[in-house]
Amino acid sequence: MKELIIISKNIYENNQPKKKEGYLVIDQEQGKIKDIVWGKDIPKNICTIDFSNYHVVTGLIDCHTHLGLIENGHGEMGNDLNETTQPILPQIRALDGVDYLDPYFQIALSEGITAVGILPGPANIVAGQGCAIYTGHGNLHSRIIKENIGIKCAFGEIPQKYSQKNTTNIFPKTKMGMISLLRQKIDTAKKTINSKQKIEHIDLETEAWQMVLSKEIPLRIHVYRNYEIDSAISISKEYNINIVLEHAPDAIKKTEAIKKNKIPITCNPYFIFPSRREQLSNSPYQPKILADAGITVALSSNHPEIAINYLQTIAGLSCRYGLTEKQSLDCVTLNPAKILGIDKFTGSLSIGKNADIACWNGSPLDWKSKPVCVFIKGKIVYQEGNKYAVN
Amino acid sequence: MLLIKNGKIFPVTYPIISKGDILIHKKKIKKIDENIQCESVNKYIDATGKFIYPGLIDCHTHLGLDEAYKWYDKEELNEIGDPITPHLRAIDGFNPNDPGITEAMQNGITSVTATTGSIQILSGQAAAVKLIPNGARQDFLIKPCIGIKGGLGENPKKYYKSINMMPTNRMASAFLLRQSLYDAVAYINGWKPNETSTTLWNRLEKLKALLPVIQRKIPLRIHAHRHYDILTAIRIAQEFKIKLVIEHATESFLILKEIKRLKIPLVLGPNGFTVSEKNESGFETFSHIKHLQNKNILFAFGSDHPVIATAYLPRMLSKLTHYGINESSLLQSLTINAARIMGCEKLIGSIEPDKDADLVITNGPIFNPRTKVEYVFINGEIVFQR
Repeated sequence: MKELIIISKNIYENNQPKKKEGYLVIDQEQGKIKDIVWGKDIPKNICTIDFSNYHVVTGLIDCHTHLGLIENGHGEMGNDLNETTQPILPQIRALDGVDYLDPYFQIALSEGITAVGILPGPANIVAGQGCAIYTGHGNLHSRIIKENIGIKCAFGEIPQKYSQKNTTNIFPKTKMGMISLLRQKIDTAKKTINSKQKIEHIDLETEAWQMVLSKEIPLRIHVYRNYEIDSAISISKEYNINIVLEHAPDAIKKTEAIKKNKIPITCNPYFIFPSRREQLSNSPYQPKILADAGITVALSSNHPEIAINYLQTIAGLSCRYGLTEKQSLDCVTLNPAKILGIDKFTGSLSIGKNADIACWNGSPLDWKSKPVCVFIKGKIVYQEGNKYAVN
Repeated sequence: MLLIKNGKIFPVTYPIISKGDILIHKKKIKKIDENIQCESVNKYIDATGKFIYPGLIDCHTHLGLDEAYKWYDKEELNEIGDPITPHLRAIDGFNPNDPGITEAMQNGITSVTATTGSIQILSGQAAAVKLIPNGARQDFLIKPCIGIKGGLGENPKKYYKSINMMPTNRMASAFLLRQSLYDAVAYINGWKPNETSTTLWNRLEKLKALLPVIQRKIPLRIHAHRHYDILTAIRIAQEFKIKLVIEHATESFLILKEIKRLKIPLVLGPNGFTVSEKNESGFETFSHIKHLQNKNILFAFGSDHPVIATAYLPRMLSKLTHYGINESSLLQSLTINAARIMGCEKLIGSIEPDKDADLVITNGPIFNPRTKVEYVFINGEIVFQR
């Protein structure tokens, strides 16, 4: 069996530095963390890397991106974000549009980000199925962590803008109309599922709704305003389904209801220019308020809104506005893993999980720090100053 | 009976015979040997000093459909009102009087794949035809359906965006392809679509057309340039365990490992022969071509006529030897490999007994641009003589 040992004085077990000498044992064949040992007596005859003065942290995860769907520098032909011909499309898959050789995957790796959740765009009321993939480690098929992590929905100004542009009448023009159409589609799907024909015919739309209705995957609803959050919660109660709120700046006014229904929230980076009216309520204190209320919070770059390499900056900034360092690291590792439903495989340094590790030359939340070496499934996928040498 | 004497024979599947004879009886090759004696021969052709090749095959063309000298812009390749039309047959639009056919035949190309377009997700059934100018369909048609042609990537995206119809992006293209295959699988198991009588005929025809694909009798032939479009096609083919051929395959060199592992045949070209303004075909293909022959991947070439005229395909390939691929694998890709991809390897693609007598006799190596074609035989008959 091929094994690898990483020695360090700063191993972030549970996203907190232990400040004690220890080492990680990685099983390179399985790609898993085999053991975490505290102490100095390192077994011999095993390949060892000494990262004593570096910070060994689990790889960062960004659970809300459009990475690879809008390709860098390919114009309209590289843009596969929105399918605006129909308002409700739960059956289409982000995975089919991802260019995994987009340069931003390599850039994400160089910033210690090992996994991303990729969602279709916000122009539709229901936009399609997201996927979770690694940012490195071979071709697209060997990078897949989970093919279907949830169905992206959007309420609010963006789908409204697109539907008002559209001249056909299949698009609802108001927010009331949008919610009603969504409920109509879920009800129709429910009816089809209950009246299953004897002969199996896979209709991808019904299949998609079935996964949501059986709580296999959540609806990931893009919301901004107060009353949109209410609508989202009421839909989750009506159909007994799991939801995740995306962006949701107004959630700070609704912490109790959100806590009670155990709804996780993905925050938008607050330092974007408020280009729409609904974005005016963005607040830098949002992660702090939500985390203190006991809600599962994730931070995201919403790439390409902010380029994905600023995830570390976003996490660092949230410390400035009140999150503790552990909370902040949780928001970019374990919590996004939970939202993506991949916390069994990755999201923290623990025995049995995949060895997705970034070794930083300082605290991972310090703006001067940089990863020197990044592992995915126990394999080196990035080394500082050696951009394309390994993969 | 017809006897060709003393030529240098390139049987492709066997070693080269430096001086040999070929006996042709009716439509078929009867015998290949160094010195054939036969009494009932009624015509001799002296091929001393000449080179004899099997008829060449162009694996991806729109010959006959996209005719030369068309007087106005008429669409012959894509039935664009509907993105899924696997029931359309290329042979129904194939015009044997297209001047491109005569020109190609005179340059040694005897068989081609005539396919529908790539704007639709599934555009129709590709046909294998012989290039008999002004011929009758029963003579030139080899197989009416050798694969269902489809397209992923920019072409459907660009066109359907302009008319605001699904699919305007790659996610939706993949969905449409998947759903139509799921429908066909259900149809095999006895499911019937629940539709009104006006659309039902169309719907059933589409499902019937996809049956041989699901049963692995013919492949899906998917136009895909970019690496992730190719992977999407591969993923879908794996989900349904169907056969797949990638057309153009411009960026396949970025994912050769996967292609080799799953043994996906490739039809390369015309990128590299010509410059394209399209975003998806920007990758420089042919400087990587030598990796294909080392990895034992089944590949052939297509001129995509009228992008490059089919007639010039051997000239275009001649340049590829500069990029490290040897002549014998080029000749294979232009003959037997193309026949294998078309599923016609029992009839055409090499000089063997009992195969169709499609032969090209030249005065020099076929890839030399100065070489002249002296005779072309199709189905045992001389269709061209210099």
